[in-house]
Amino acid sequence: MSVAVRLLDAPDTGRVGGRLRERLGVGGIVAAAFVLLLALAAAFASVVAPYAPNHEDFLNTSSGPSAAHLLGTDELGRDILSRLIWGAQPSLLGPLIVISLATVIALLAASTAVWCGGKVDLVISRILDFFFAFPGLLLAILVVALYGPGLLQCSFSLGIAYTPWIARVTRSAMLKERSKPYIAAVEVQGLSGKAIALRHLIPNVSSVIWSQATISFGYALIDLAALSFLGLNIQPPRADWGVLVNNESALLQGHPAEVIYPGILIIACVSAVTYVGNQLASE
Amino acid sequence: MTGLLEVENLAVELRTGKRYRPVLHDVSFGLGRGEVVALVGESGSGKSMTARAIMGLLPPDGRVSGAIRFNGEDVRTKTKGEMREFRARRAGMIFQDPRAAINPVHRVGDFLTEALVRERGMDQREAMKRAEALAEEVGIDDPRRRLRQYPHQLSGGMLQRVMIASVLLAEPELLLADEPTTALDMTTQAEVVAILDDLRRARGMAMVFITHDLELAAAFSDRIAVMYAGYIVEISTPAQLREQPLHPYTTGLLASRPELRERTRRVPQIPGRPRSAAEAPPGCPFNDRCPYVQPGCQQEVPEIRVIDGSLARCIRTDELRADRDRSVFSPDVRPSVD
Amino acid sequence: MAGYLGRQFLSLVVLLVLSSFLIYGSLFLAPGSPDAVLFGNHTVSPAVRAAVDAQYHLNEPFLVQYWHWATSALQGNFGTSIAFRTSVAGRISAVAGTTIFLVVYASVLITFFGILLGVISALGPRKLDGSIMVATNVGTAVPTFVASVILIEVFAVKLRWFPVIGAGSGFFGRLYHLTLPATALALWAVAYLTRVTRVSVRDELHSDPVMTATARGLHPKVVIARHVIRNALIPIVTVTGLQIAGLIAGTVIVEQAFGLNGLGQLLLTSVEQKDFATVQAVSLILVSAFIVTNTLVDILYTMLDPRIRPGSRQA
Repeated sequence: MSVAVRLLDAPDTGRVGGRLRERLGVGGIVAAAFVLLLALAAAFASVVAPYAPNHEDFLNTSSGPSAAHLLGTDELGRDILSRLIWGAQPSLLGPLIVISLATVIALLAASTAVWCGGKVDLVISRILDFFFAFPGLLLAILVVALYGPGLLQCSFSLGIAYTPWIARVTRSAMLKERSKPYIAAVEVQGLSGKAIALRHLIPNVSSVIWSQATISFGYALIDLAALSFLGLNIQPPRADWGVLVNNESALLQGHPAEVIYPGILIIACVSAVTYVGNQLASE
Repeated sequence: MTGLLEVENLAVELRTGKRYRPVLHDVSFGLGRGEVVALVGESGSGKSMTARAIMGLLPPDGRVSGAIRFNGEDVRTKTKGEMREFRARRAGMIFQDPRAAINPVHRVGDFLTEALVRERGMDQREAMKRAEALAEEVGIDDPRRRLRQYPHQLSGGMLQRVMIASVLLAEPELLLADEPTTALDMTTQAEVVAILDDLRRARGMAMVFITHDLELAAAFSDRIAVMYAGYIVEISTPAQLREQPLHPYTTGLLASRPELRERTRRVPQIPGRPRSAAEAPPGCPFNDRCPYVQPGCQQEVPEIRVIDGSLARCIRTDELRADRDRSVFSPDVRPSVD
Repeated sequence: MAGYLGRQFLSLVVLLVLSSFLIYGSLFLAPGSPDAVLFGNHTVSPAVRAAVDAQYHLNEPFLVQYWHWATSALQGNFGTSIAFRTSVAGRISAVAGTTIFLVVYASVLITFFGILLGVISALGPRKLDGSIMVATNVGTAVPTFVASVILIEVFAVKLRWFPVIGAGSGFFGRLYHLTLPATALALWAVAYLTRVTRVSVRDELHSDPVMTATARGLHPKVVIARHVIRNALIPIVTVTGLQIAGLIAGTVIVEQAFGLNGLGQLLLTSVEQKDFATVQAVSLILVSAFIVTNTLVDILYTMLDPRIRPGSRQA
């Protein structure tokens, strides 16, 4: 970084690591660790889970907790704990696709809009406004109607639907950053628009982006699980947490635990992610 | 003194987090009917806090000691109902920034009449008539139309006139004007203060006038109380203050005004920066910036005492007076501080 | 003022046209010919095929087709369901009542409880505030479908206070049958609105106008009503409106969870049965409702804040 930029007091982008811990606080670190643990369990499900997800133990159907089945079994004798662990894979992978897609498009849209300004900004903002008019869930349903159910279809449509939310916040943060004197200084030095966006705009609004992406992850997890619950996302016998909740017969036959466990897992995971996201946003 | 208002040994500490930090120390002054006292000082000196303490508008978790007597009754021991009555009829406060202080979602007319209608049960039409008449008096043209507008449609100067009118409508005995012109343009400042003073005088209202502008204070007040770091360091009449400042801080303030007529190479300044009450050094709060500092100044806070009919809080006032002809703050003869 | 409403109306129309265009055009984004999409896996006689082609004007250019579809949709004609050989409009009107009742019911719950709890939390005793905050913290993490399942388990299966299934008939029958679904639908939004209300009221409590009002000796009730609540209402109304607009998509989930025969359920079964004409029609209705609600929120918000109200420029 040149001297002129330093003199104009460019925000410090170097010390993210140390400040991250400060920002998260004890609660944030615990919450992040919880989500990380779930992700690890999902990634190594074949090692961690005691059974295969669809292994049926005919002698132990709808059993309560036991040494062999820590959380019991469902009506087909499948191990509930194993199904929860295996279910974590699509449950966490889906939201990851959603926010990756949404964040990348949002970043492109926002930085183009902010950098070009004027008519380009207007057009991009209008397009974003238009996509606000589509609730994510409806967009996903429409896409599933066309292309059939599945994780990719659902994740892609939610990714599109989430883009305007992230883009709008990013755009306004970038606009604020854009007006700071140090940007004018590097502009005068002849840095190209792309380089300024990549090296200054995006890094300096990164905390806003990370926070938005993290909070959106929670919402995406809920929406994708809901789509599974509706039978539009993951198809049985494969299961994510949403499919596991969609088990009315278990309720009616008096085995609510099968439904409650995945429900609690969703609630805990979303709370943790949202908490981390809010901590990231706090100054 | 025919005391309308007597403030005696007022001390205030406000809470930030778990700690209490002092904002006012041993503030005492009196005010007769129809009189004007100006509180002058830099930001953080405690002027506004004094006004808020009088109105009972300090944060509820603050610690307050001393007495604030209005017509002989202590304001601090009033019940909630009595306090409302006091604020509604006895004392009115004009805030610094009318744009912030006046609720943007109600029409100007509703703002003016709301106290009359809701607290005194006056008929809306009658209240509006009064408001329009007074609006005209404070210099709002076409009040009928203006009163139907919203605050954001009026200029800052107009809004401050609305603020003044709203306080005058209640016909209080005491006005507290907290930097009423600071947020305004230079050109409207003098006009607004002049209107305020005229209307106050005609109604026989007393006023505590808070400003950081010594000139403005001298023009409109009977007595000036100079505040520094939560203390009153000097109380004097404007004439006496100009002729014979008793406290080194006052001397510095007087010296640091740029003169329009003279061209100087450098405006003399008080060395260092102003201290708030929480930052003041032990002993005399001004000792780290005072050219007259001596070891005694750092020992204990000087008592405020009568000198030539004025009051000052300095142990070296007599020596300062002897030295008066030679301004210690002029750039040529600035003594070293440390 | 008229100009402002005109502009709002214009942008509403543009949004509606664009979204209907997208919904209709999606037919051509699908793999396979529009015919294949429209007929799904249903085998149809040449006569029916010809009728559908005529109805969709499939032999004409795309824009003409869209024009026919959109104009007949405006007249309430959504064509014929291939799967059921009945008019789509008929199927929609048969179930729309349940969905509308559900959304209105949930909206009332959200507005009433969200604002009430938020105000209590901001102004009431500290202990109450604490427990309301804990409850809303949990509430905002509970997905609608999980809430549905929990409500069914507790109040329908265990306690048997409410029926498990069915939408009921008559006003009170519906009220009774739809209480659990409406609660499930409203729960997340109530929790969220409570938090927004609490923060907005708290912020206003320490605002300058409140200090001014207090300094004028106004009664606390007047201060709260005219200077705290009135000002806090601006963000509160906005969020309430957005939450209510959001319910429209949520009905799909709740209707599925409670087995209610409403628009959402119709949409889902149509997706399952590849009845694309119905999918388009229901999507169009739900999206339009969403857009119209959002526009109304915009207008209401502008009315509440004189600073941005049209026709009140600085004079």
